[in-house]
Amino acid sequence: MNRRSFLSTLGGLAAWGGLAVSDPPLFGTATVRPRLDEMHTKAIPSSGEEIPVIGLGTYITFNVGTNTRLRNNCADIMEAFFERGGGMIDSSPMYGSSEEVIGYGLDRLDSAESLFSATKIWTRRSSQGPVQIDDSLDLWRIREIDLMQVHNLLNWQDHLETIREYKDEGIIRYSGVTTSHGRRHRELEQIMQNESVDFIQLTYNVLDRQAENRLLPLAKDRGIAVIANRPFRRKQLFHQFGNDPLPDWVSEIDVENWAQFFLKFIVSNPAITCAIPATSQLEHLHENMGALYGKMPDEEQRRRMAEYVESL
Amino acid sequence: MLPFSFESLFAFFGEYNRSVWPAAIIANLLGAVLLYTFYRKAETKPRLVFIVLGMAWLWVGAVFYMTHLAMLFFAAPYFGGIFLLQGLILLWTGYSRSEIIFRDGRDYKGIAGYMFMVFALLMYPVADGLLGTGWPDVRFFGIAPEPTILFTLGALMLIRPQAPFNLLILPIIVSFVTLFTTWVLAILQDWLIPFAAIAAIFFIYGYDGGVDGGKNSEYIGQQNLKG
Ligand SMILES: NC(=O)c1ccc[n+]([C@@H]2O[C@H](COP(=O)([O-])OP(=O)(O)OC[C@H]3O[C@@H](n4cnc5c(N)ncnc54)[C@H](OP(=O)(O)O)[C@@H]3O)[C@@H](O)[C@H]2O)c1
Repeated sequence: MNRRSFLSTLGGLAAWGGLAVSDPPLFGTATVRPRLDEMHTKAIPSSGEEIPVIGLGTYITFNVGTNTRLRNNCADIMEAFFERGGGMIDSSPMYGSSEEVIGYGLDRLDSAESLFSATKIWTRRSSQGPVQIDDSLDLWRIREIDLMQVHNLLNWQDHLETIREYKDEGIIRYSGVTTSHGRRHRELEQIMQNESVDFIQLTYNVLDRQAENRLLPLAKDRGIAVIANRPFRRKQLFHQFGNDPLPDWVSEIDVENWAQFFLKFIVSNPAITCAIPATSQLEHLHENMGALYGKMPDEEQRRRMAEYVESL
Repeated sequence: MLPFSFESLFAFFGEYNRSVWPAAIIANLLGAVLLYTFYRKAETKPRLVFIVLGMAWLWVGAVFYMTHLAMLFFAAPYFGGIFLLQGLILLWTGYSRSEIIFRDGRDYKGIAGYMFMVFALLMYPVADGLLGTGWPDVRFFGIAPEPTILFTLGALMLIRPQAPFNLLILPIIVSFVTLFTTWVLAILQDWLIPFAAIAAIFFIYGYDGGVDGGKNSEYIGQQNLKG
């Protein structure tokens, strides 16, 4: 049984808001080897396939060009990510050399069976859609892409059509569209209402919560998986709150640091499938992956988390 | 937003220098020849100057931006286009405007021009080495944008009575565009570029005096026949 089918079978476990949970809390430090059967996963509504709730973004952090030292650092990050139970890696042609660096990392790893590849089409030109898909396959050095998204809704009509064609051919498994920074939510809502997409990606974190009003309930209703990007507002949350103490009660939800606080707030939202923090630091990766384990906040605890941050 | 970090950008400079080696040496030698010629001769004819500057801008556009940085930055080809255009403008000016004279003036304008050129040739790599990620992750005149802009502004400040405005438009625009990268990535030494652009505008178009400035400097320039 490979990791993917293994994770699918976890779907039957006790669920909280669609979250498969485990009993003995295990929350992470770098030294503790995680038990992968204890990590939190959520089901992709359109298929029931389970994916780990913490993924890995690659914007800026993986755009390191041809420098071997920096490439190896990215490969180390990927290795630790998979070891700690990670699945989804998100990228885009917009992120410069990131896709190529992912391919380099995958090549260096013995095994990346749990990889859930997510990338994007980012071009106004319809004819470039298939070209970018083929490029991504080459750059990642894979034969099939799990999720292909239309980046920032750019020419989404034509690109979704292209993605469907690739899905029919079995080269792409899921379709999606992305936005960020709270932009173009109305257009995103229309796509969610009228089109068949498996995933949407948007910005959601403890400060950016506009999506809670309409988009997240709609995603639940329509059975669309949601990826939360900019979970740390690109470091801004650490700059803003990182020097403040965590409240005592976070031990109730197995939170050891601010990164886990921010991430658990996001992925405990029942409508969110996965958050994709980016990092170039192994230490940060381990902190972030800790949010895959241990108790998750319930509705009341989520409210307290948001209130605490607002009070700072 | 810029899709790369400070560390990745400087690592890129190192990889780039290696892959175009020994272009950095050749470009710096040509820059040094220009500087020496300006200094040794009271008046320098434009052809050689514009050929060297034009080739430098063409190289930065075609090789630095379009061939190399494009791997990291989707907007690099657009910057490359601007550098190519400026390269052509400089070459065309050298071909068609033989009356333009670079003069070894020792007024404030001339001294500032020399300082910019010296900084572009010698100090930029040193500043990059000290404030960036170390050798060889540094930028050189003629093959990387910022020192090339700085050297060009410095050279244009030696044109008397003043540089044609069309030669300055694109260098000044790109000087201010670099502010964004300077600000976002906190590249301390690059603050010199917009500062140099403002100084160039001031000295070339808004200033006609100084220690030996204005008419006097024209006179001294003519007396100072060393070359
Ligand atoms: N429209 C779109 O499709 C879109 C838009 C935006 C983002 N995205 C996706 O979402 C991903 C995440 O968003 P993002 O990269 O913009 O921002 P982010 O994940 O909110 O923040 C990344 C920053 O947080 C820092 N960080 C990570 N873990 C940390 C920790 N434990 N402690 C302290 N600092 C930490 C990282 O710095 P270090 O390197 O120092 O750790 C990095 O600078 C992107 O990489 C991309 O894949 C998609």
